[in-house]
Amino acid sequence: MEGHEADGEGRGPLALAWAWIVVGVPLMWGVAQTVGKSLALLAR
Amino acid sequence: MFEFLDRQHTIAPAGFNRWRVPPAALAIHLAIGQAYAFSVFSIPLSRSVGITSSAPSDWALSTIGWVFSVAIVFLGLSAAVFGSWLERVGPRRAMFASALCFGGGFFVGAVGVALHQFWLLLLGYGVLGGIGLGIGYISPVSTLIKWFPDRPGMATGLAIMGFGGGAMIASPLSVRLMEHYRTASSTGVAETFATLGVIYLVYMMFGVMTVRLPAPGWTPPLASGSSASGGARRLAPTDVSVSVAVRTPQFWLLWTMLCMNVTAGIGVLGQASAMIQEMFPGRILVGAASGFVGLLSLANMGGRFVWSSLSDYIGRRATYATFFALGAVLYSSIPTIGRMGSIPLFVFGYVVILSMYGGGFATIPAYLRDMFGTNQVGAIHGRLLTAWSTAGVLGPVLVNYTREYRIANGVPKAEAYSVTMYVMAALLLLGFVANLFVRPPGATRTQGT
Repeated sequence: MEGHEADGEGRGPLALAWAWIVVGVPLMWGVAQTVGKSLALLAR
Repeated sequence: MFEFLDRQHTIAPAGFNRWRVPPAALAIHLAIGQAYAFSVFSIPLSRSVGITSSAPSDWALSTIGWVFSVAIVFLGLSAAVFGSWLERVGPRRAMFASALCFGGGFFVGAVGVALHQFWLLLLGYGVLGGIGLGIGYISPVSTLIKWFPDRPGMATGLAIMGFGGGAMIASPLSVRLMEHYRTASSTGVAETFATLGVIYLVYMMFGVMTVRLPAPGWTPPLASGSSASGGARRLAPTDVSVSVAVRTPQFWLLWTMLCMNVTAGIGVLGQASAMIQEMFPGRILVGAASGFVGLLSLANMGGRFVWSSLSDYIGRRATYATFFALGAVLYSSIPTIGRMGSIPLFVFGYVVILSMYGGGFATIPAYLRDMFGTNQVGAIHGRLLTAWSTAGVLGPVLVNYTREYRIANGVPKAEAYSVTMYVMAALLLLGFVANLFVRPPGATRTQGT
């Protein structure tokens, strides 16, 4: 167990937040692109 | 050198926050979900030589279509073949192999495009990339089920939602990269492939480095307060090996259900743009139809998370019964809605249908876990994905040939979809019946449910 902690696993909220930002930001960007395009085209 | 990939180095330390695992899973699925955006390369690939228009030596669109088909076939095959290996070596090594195959597939494909060698493109993106897709698809799903035994539907829904969302990232990203690399002598596809190969390799490595398996005997914290209490939680599945599972009627009933749900969904997804234009001629033009398809992608993605999370509360059987019953009603209603001329109702019906198509993909691993336990769920899931490969052929064939046959017999285009919709509704009813017969192995002996 200690070996893992010494490896810099990091258990704190910062590691958790960072992990979700890495996947959340691209996903939200993609969703925003699709929503924007869909609304613009449907509104024509 | 690669010891860090070993299963024992993946075991999480005590106190590890399990909510750090879904991002690792999402990183893999967001990357491989690119496959659904392959069509953005179709037109540029068909102009590799002519650049501004297709030259005689350019590949035909129908030829290019084989690249995606081969990738999906290899997704199913590799998931079936490598599922047992995944359970043995653990998710990190499997995800690493997936990243190498998927990223490597782009590099080989880029060389194929640059040299205008179709077999290299097929070998790279289709075969190598397809193997990356298959291993990458099942690795995180199996891991998340182990981390979230109290909410397997929500957990797998999160990961598989990423597969739906991956196309939304890849599509605009690929278009921008092609615009950036385009020159008078190049469509920019080869350079875009190479760039995407690097991006996805690095991005998937984030998942590889951060994925963890729970220690043997680990149980989720009891104080979560939001654990599912419905049908899913009541079951205490006994672990069944993959070799035994594939010989049970339960496996083949679930295979049939996935195949029927995906066949119906794929069949109409590929036709959505043409269908709305032909059902509402003059009112829906190509631009609005494209927006409609984007809306369906969102429904497909959202349904993966919403329906599979709901299945933790109402149970897997009730969720699939809803997919099949409501789906059959909606598919049967589409021709009538078309005749009524109601675009909002048509769009709403389609959004619900596509949400259930995505939900079917996302809920099936949790259903497998209910039947066969968590130990070999990745391997069993891999075998089950051959239903997807089958549906990938069956769905488009059913829709395209039925439509063409009707039009050839003088049926107006707007009416040509009616029979197709009724055929799809019949497929869903078949799935409904299969769902009725699903019982946990040994259920009559141990639980009577």
